[in-house]
Amino acid sequence: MAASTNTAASPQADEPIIRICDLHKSFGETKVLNGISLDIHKGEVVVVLGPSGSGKSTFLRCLNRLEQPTSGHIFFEGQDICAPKADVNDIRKRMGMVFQQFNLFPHLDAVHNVMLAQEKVLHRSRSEAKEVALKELARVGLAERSDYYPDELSGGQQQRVAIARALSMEPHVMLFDEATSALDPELVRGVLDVMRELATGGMTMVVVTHEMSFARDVADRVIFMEGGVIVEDGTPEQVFEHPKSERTRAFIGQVTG
Amino acid sequence: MKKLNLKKFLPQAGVATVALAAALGLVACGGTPASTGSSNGSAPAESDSSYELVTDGTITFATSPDYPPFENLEDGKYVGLDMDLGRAIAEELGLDCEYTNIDFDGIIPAIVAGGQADAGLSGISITPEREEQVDFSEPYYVDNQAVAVMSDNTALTEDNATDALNQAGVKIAVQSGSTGEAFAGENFPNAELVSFANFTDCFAAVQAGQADAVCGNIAVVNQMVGGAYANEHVIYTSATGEEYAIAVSKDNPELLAAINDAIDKLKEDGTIDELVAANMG
Amino acid sequence: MSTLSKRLPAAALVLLACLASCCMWLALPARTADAMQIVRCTGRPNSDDDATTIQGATQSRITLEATVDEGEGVDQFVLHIPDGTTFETDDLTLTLLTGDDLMTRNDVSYDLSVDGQDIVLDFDEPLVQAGHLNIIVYGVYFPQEGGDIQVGASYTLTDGSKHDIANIPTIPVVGISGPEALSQWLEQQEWVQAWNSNTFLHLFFDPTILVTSFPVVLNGFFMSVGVVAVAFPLAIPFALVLALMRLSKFFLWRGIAATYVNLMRGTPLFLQIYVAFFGLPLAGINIPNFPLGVIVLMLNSAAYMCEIFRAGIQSINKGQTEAARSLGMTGFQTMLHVIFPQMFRIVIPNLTNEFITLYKDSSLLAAVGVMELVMYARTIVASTGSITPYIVAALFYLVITLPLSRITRVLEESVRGHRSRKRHTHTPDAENAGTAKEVAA
Repeated sequence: MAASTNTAASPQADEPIIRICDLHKSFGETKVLNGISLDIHKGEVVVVLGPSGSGKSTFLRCLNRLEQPTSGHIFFEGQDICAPKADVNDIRKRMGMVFQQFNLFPHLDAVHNVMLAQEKVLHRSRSEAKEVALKELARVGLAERSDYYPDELSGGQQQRVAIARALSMEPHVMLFDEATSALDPELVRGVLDVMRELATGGMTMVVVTHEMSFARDVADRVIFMEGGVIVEDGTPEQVFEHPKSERTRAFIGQVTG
Repeated sequence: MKKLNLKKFLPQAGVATVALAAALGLVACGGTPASTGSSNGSAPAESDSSYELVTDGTITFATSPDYPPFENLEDGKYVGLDMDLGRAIAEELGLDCEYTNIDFDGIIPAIVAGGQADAGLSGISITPEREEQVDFSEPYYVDNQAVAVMSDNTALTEDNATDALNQAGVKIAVQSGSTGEAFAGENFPNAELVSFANFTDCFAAVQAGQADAVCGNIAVVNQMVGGAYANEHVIYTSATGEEYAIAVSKDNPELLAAINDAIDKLKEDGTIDELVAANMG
Repeated sequence: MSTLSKRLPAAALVLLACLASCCMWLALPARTADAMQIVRCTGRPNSDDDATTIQGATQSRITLEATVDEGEGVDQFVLHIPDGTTFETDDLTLTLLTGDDLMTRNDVSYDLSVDGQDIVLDFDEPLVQAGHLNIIVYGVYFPQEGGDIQVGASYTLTDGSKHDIANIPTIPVVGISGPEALSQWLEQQEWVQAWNSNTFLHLFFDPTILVTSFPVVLNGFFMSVGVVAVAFPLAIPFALVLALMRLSKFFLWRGIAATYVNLMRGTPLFLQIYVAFFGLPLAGINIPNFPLGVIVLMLNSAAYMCEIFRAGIQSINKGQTEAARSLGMTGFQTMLHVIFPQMFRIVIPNLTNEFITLYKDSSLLAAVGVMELVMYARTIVASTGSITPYIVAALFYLVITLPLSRITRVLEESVRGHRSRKRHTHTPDAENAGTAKEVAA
């Protein structure tokens, strides 16, 4: 409830939902992010590309503070989430995340995977949580599988349950961290279809992926990262057709063949 | 519950019996050659004796050295009345003397089983139950009992001991299976007996207030009260009829006879009295 | 003055009494002293149940002690054993205990004859020394049905006068218990005698001791199970807290928990038991035996469980925590609802082992007087010299441990059990159907 008023309270379209200012992150001596600044607006679908080790996953994980930035600021809906006093749990419930390895809770069946955080974090009643869970499972095409345990589901189905789990919290932003990378090729499409549908529905999304076609078709913006900095930032057309740097051109050429 | 356990236990016992039958065979086989060798070996030295020993030329006593002044370890040496007696008996028999350290409750089983020791010498008193398992030598010591309490205990004193100790709510610490336990059970049936595995713990229990009194052999009690537990004192003594004797396997009457002869000699020549005086003084 | 005048008649009376007694002493030289007084008359407890019960039809012993005064001149002593009680006189001992503390033994020579239920002791020299006359009759079998046994005693002085000793306490004898009766019946059976003629079987599986020790050791079984049944569940939450402390980012928590765990695992349990049972009371902390035993085992077991839980938690993929946290769950909620349920499934086998270890370790409480399984068995072993009671104790261990390992297996399978529930529907077709549906959507 509070979340929806928040959204309504930012009527200006040019007020970014996420503003990242000079973000740095090091693991010990290793510098992974070297000053990233970026505005993401409501309803935008931002696809982050880059070779492995470019820092794109770390960047995504900084957005909901699964990684603690070394320096810099991230403003989410006007609130500095890097501030020491920031309530990370409150931030995270407004920011859904989908992992490469799905990370479903193996001891719970699909519907209870989706229900758990609703009950514990949003304090929804059991019946309300179940209603929402079944709705979200239906949305990802798994209404029939609600009482299946994770190890009874295929990878693609598991990932769709994970998406339903994140969506049940009614997040304002969805973060996808290589959501299809661990899937067998024939299962990728189902997950991408769900993500596509989300994008069409107006969800703000930050997507780290290797799926070029998804970036080309669905993204509003494509960001190319390398060496912990943003090398390219533009519409899919700009980045794919007229890349500014040689490195981007080479990367895109490599993955699209 | 009982029924269920019984059901469980019957097949278990059967299995265990079968499983251990093999071990039994081994024990039997192991025993025979050893004894043959022993009698052959000792024949030249003592032509008149036909008893079997675990080790040729050596008599091995099983003892639990936690019962001063009867048996105790001091600087790794076995000391006490029983230990001196064992050495004196060995000398009489023309044998070397060896002690093997076995928990008190394991001594008689060890003698019955054989192979570990030739005789049990550990302040063992003669009881009908034990006589079913082993033979006893002539008694070499008659036991007296004592009860000690904390010196500052005003409820239990020398003046009221006989009655005050025999009251519900009085806790008397005793060594499990000892003559002290039997004595306290016979004379203070109303008191609660608290059993401990070794006698020192009985004293510690009184120190800690886990028990009100400790009951045991008078010489041992005096030793403790005169030493480590000087803040306890004796409030009751009784000359009882418990007789200490040496336990010998029923399969070895020749050894029993030899030990009895030795004890008789040692009694006659005053050696035993000397040893008692030296160790109990 | 008035008090003196009042006392005068009293003094005169005392003087008179003295004179009178002097005259009597002159007239009856044999009656110099008071009559013999009973000191004790006891039976030797002979039941495996406890150290105070005297039961019928089982070998026992009667000890009778009576005072002898200076110059008493006891010529003959007769002990009357009531009908129904049998006895032997071969090993009868008779001692005159003298000295201030009555600890000096004096041999007395006498002739012994048995007249029916009377044991007649004729002294070669009349007893004139002050002391306690101590008589022990061996080989006594009280009536099977029990009852209060009244032993009688009388004595004859040198002057030929006969006196009864009054107020001899009765010996309370209980009827023989079922197992004891069974044991005695077994003892008469030929197959049992043949069985027991084998030393090994006799030592380890004596049927007569088996049946008597069974109900006794059963008491200890309840005690052991009771201690563990309370200590084990209590140790779990404590161990979880310790495990979380060990995994904490805060060095102080880590340090405290690590110190505790290393201390408890690095020192012998029996020492911890001694400290608790003998040390705490000295520090003024008095806790009854049972709760104290529970607490010590709980504290010890928690240290081992802590390591089991820590390993269990660490074995769970970090992604689980990340997924839960990314949904806005707190660290505590994540532990409670995501990590612990998974961890418990992983640690079930180790936890079972810990339970079995704890159950067996409870025997260490025997050392400090907690009457548990091994202590009951040990008591019978010490008094009978047969190992059979330990075999009975072992059976009681197996009664718990065997079903437990079975339950664990079932539990482990049931954790995976949901798979089989609808595996049959999980086919590639189902997968395709799901994909097709969402494509359609």
